[in-house]
Amino acid sequence: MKFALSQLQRFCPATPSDPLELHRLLDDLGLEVKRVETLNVGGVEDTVYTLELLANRGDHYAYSGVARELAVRLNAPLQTPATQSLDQGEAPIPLTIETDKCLRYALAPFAVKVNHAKLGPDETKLLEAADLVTGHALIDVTNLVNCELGQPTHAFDADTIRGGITIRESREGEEAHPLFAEESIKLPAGTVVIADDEKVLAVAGVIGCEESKVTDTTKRMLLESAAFDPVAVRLAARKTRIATDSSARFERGCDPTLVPVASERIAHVLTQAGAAEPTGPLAMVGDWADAQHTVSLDFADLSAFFERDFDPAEVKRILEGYGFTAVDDTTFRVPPHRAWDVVEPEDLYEELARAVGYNELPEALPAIDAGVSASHEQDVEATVDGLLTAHGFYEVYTDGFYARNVREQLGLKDGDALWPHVEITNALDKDYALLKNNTLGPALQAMALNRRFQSPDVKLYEWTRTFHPAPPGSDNSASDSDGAPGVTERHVLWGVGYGAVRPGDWGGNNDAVDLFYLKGVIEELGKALHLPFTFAELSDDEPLAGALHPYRSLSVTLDGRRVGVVGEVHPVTIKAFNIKGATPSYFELETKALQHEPVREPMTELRAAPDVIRMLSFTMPASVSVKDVLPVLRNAGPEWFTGVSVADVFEKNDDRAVTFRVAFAGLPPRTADELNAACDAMVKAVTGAFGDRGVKLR
Amino acid sequence: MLEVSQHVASFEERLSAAQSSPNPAEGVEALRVEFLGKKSQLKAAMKELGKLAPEDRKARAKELNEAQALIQDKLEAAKADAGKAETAARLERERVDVFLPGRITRRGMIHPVHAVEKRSLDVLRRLGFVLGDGPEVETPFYNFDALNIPEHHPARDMQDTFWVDGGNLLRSHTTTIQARTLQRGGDLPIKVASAGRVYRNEAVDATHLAMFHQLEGFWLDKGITFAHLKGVLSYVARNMYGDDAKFRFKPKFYPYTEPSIGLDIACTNCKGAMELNGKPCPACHGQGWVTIMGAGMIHPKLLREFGFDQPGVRGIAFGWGTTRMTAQWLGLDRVKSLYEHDHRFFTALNGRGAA
Repeated sequence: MKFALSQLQRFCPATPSDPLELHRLLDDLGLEVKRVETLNVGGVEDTVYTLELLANRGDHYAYSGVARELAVRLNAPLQTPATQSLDQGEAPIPLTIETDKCLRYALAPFAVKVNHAKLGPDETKLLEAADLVTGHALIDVTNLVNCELGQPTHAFDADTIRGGITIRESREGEEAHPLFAEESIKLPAGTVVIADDEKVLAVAGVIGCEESKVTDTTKRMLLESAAFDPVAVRLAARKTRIATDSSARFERGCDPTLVPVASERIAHVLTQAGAAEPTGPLAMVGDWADAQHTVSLDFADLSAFFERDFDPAEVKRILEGYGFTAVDDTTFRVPPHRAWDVVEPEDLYEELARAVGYNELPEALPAIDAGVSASHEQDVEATVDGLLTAHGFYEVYTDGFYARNVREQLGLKDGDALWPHVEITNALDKDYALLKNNTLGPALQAMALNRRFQSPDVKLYEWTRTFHPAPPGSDNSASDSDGAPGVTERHVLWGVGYGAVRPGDWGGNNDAVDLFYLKGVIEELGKALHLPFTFAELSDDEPLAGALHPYRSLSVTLDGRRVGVVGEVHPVTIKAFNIKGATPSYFELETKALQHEPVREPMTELRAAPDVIRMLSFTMPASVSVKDVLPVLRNAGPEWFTGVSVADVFEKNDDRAVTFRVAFAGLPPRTADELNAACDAMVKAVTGAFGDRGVKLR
Repeated sequence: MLEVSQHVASFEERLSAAQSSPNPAEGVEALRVEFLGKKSQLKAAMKELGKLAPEDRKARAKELNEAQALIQDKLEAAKADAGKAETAARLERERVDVFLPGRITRRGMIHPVHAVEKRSLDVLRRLGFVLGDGPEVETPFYNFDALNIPEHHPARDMQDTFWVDGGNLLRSHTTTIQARTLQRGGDLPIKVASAGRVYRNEAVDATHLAMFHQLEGFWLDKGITFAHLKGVLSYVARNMYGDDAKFRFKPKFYPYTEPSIGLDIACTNCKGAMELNGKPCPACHGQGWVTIMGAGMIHPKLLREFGFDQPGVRGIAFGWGTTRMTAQWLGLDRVKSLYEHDHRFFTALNGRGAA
């Protein structure tokens, strides 16, 4: 809302004239300045502030409210706008309230003299600063009083009203034609409306309607001033998707005592301007009564709270300045305009702190015994982050949700383990339809984006969580967080990549990110965290099996339990995600598995002499795995055999040769015949076991 | 009889030729064998000395020894020269373009928001805050009701919410962890910090996100005061932004704290001057200050809700948007870039660092 410096001075004459001083003062009061403009208002340069107001302070949505803050801080008087007293009496037409959502409703009749009469100079300047001048006195005056007092009012053309006025809830199927709208809208049943005997005249607290609006030909005006329940107005504004200055004020809590004051202010302004004159008494209906709620202060607690003593006289001055009434030395009656948000002693503490200024209050750091160490979980995270970033991975954050078609892109079908999702019921965007229950989908979306930008080599990872519908009646103990009922959350680390392992390496011989690279990454994570990860063929019930290459993927296990997966993405899935010119490989690991208690193996004893090494090379079709051959070699070795590992794999077309590095203890020394005999026995064991599947010594 | 002077002259001529040959070391070695070896003419001449008359033998021996020493010296010098030349040639052959880039796997980077989060949590650990965690799918109770945000409260609109199956929602702030921690109860003091993703049901554009990151801390104990709240906020802010940074406090409104407080930092872009090059500073929108934290004294309703309404027991709570803080730090107008997974963006950031 916009406030002009000159107008603030009209309400609080002590308001600083220096624009920057006022700027800082407003900020300090919690009336945050978002914009400052120098405008020509009524032929005079004026400074206009756009303020961001606090959501609980409906009273700040007016000059009187902001001026009250300034007056208390500056310990200066507050000016109230002039009014014309109106007698209270019967309304010229029947007036009935049928809903408790209307707290108070006043109607005042006016005879219109000059529709386009100009309001007084101060009033006009205020409207000009807010860019609200229409030139129509009856409309301008309602806007004026809204800005001045924060009390919304509405002007009806009395000659358009049929029968009486009733404040009631809308009926099923009832329609209204709001101001400025091209056509009527259907009102949700239960919306509070102002209606005559035939039609809806206004959506209460939100907006008037076309049929009853004042025009250039209006001769008789009925002025509405009312107080409505904030929740009812908020719901009406939300359901009709109409937000107005009036609804903003009502939603934040109105002041029912302003209902007659606003009418009397309008009577004064219109009379002074020669635009209209009241022709009857102010008719006021409604059950509202000031609850006269009181809050008591404990001065000892107040001093302890702020670590500062407050003089009771100072407290009384401040609170009375804000409109509270001192019942006795420690008890204060809450004014109606603050009844919505002042309930607790701490609410009064806040009033006092604001008046003094938060920056003027004491500041002290509590006694700190000692800091705390990082948790095991934080240490694990740091280790993993360090290792992955050292290997060139970049951490990303993907959304917690995705579109429904991700299921199809992953090749999932109804009945698959990953088909059920927790669904978002009010998504604004189709990409927010489902909470993610896997991380491969988001990973491949990231890959597709990077391919679109032709990034040649990409490695990404993320710490995230997936969401799964919990089985009905389950205690949800599977969740990694104490989650909401019906939803299981699992914490996951995933990584994905394509292209060169060492981007930008000019030396050639630059391996690609593939299954074996990511497997190595997992092995290194296991080494860094002291976790003996092992690998197994993908089982039939692996949830992601259909989206991964069947012969280039593995399950990751720990303690015999599946804790993750690693592999090349299935070519059909790559195509479904529209990833062109790259073959991504992917891994995921349960975060809980990474946080598993470290398993520290004892250090092996170093041998006194170097091992004797022999190379055994076999022709091996890809259908025979080293996983099967290695144990055969181990079992066939003599007692002084110390180990075997894969030294080289040669592949060309359909031919494959695997060379094993076999080690024997160097001491005691063995003769060449002994070594040859040992190798022969190992070769024989392998060819005996796998010869019929095409394995032979090369 | 060997004519020594001619022999030495011949050696010198041959040595010169060998040194100019493509392989001087090999030529010099061949000359050593030829002129000093067992079958060399000098050795043969020495063997003939016994046949000479005594009066001639001494002079001849002297002449031969001097020639042998001369040849030996020249051969050794030549051998040393040849070695140097060979090393020089080898080094020349081994010349590389030393200005080619180094070869190693280039470091990646943790997400800049994560870096800010880690830095924040490090500061809070020094104050004794332990890490807390909570679910992202929440019940309305923990996200709203327990935090003094009843049904139809405007704050429920302020945080347009993603509702999911079963009447649950995606948490719209990390304050849910405060509610869950307080519900679990425990001995005082309770000092918990938590960080994570939060969700708002907003149409995404350059500056609005449906998912972003927040960080939250709270401290509940007997004797906690408003002065402590300011002290903790100042400590955190100084440790995050440096001792020279200028701060100020201002009133704010949050349903779950009373009083509520905001902490502003003097704009690091315009140094609080509000203008840059005669135009409003884009970082602070010409205001000179940027809000970095929201905080307050834990609302008495929360203390009552979770049974901590005991004499003298009060709490402070504070939080900040780590996404916003990161964007501020990096000078990013387009916050959305942080969540788009574009490798080019992150490699461009790499080396700058967010924290």
